Amino acid sequence: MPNLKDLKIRIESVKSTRKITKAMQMVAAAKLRKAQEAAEEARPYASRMAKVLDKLTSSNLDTTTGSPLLIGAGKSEKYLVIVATSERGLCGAFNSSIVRLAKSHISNLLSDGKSIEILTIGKKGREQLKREFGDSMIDHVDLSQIKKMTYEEASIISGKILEKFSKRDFDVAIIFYNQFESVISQVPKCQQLIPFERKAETDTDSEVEELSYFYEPDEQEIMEDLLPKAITAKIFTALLENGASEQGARMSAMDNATRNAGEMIDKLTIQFNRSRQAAITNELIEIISGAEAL
Amino acid sequence: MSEDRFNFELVTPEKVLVSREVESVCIPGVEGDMTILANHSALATAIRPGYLKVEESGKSETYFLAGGFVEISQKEVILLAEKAALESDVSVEIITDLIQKTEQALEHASELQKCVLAKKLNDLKSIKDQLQK
Repeated sequence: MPNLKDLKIRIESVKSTRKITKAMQMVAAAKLRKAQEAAEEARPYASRMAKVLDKLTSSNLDTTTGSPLLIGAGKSEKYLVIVATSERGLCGAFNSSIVRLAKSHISNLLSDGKSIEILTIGKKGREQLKREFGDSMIDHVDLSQIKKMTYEEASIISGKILEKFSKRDFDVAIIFYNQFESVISQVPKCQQLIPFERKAETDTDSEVEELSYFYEPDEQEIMEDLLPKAITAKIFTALLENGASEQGARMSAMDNATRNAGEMIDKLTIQFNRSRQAAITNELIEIISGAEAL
Repeated sequence: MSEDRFNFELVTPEKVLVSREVESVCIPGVEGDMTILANHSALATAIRPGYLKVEESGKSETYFLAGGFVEISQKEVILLAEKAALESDVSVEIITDLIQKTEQALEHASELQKCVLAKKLNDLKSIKDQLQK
């Protein structure tokens, strides 16, 4: 049995750990509110954009002359895998769940004979993927200097991707991120960026309306203008969802840690009290038996 | 909804700026400014940098737009802007910043985009000149 002094030191150290995790939890809760708001405010733009593009493409999809961003490069040999993670750890399974999903996708692609390139956003994903796929990593986006995710940041990233696509460095781009569902649940998601994924056409009754659109300047130019923006919007929402998920994951992880620390303190305190009691009883026995011997 | 009003939405990537019934909006389209009233025919157009005027019951608000896209249908008008701000919040610095970014984009743009970007740059410069006066 450890002696009293050791126990005391351990209790103190767990207590200070609990203070830290508690503080982190509260910081994450405050940040979560902001991140969640940002993610929710960004959703209308992305959904409207998707709706407009859906209308535009469904009424006049030309598979021969359309923009390669829409119809693809004509093959799907080279993949660009974008893995969005956080800059910091201590957020539960947040990063590892994205990485796990990305890894299984990558190994599927590799076994299908495709070649891959990896672009990582956020330090944690790069660290975890470097060991296995270090040779395929082509670029990394550092988010550590960015306090608040803005549309400009997303457009810098999408600019990089589009430039690579125009050089035909890859045929298909997919992004991995965590979709924010609630504080306790974040779902790792995989989304195709290029070629632009259209929703399955389920409602045909709205088609009559779509055909009567006038376009200014012309459809080709509008598409050329709109598609990169739609991709930027997708990346932007993915990053915001990721940001909210990160804070949510950290908050629940730190909540768990705080609770565990509390339990540990209780256990240690009981142990401490018992051993103190045992020591006192021991001393009493010694005194009494000493007195009897006289 | 009354006869002469329609639903107008101004959406930026960061948030929804306007979402209400208005009487008319004046949009800086790439092919020229246009005023939209209720029951406009369906139209989709790109937007050049410029000012958007929203009018309702005698009051009007002016927003600065840095390009975007507008979709006009019978029911509603949806404006997707990359960047939008109230006219009073726009400063020369913001415009200068945008001009720099556009110039950078112009350097490595494809032929088709170049023409669009060059136009955009011109529009931004003229707005800057106006502001400085």
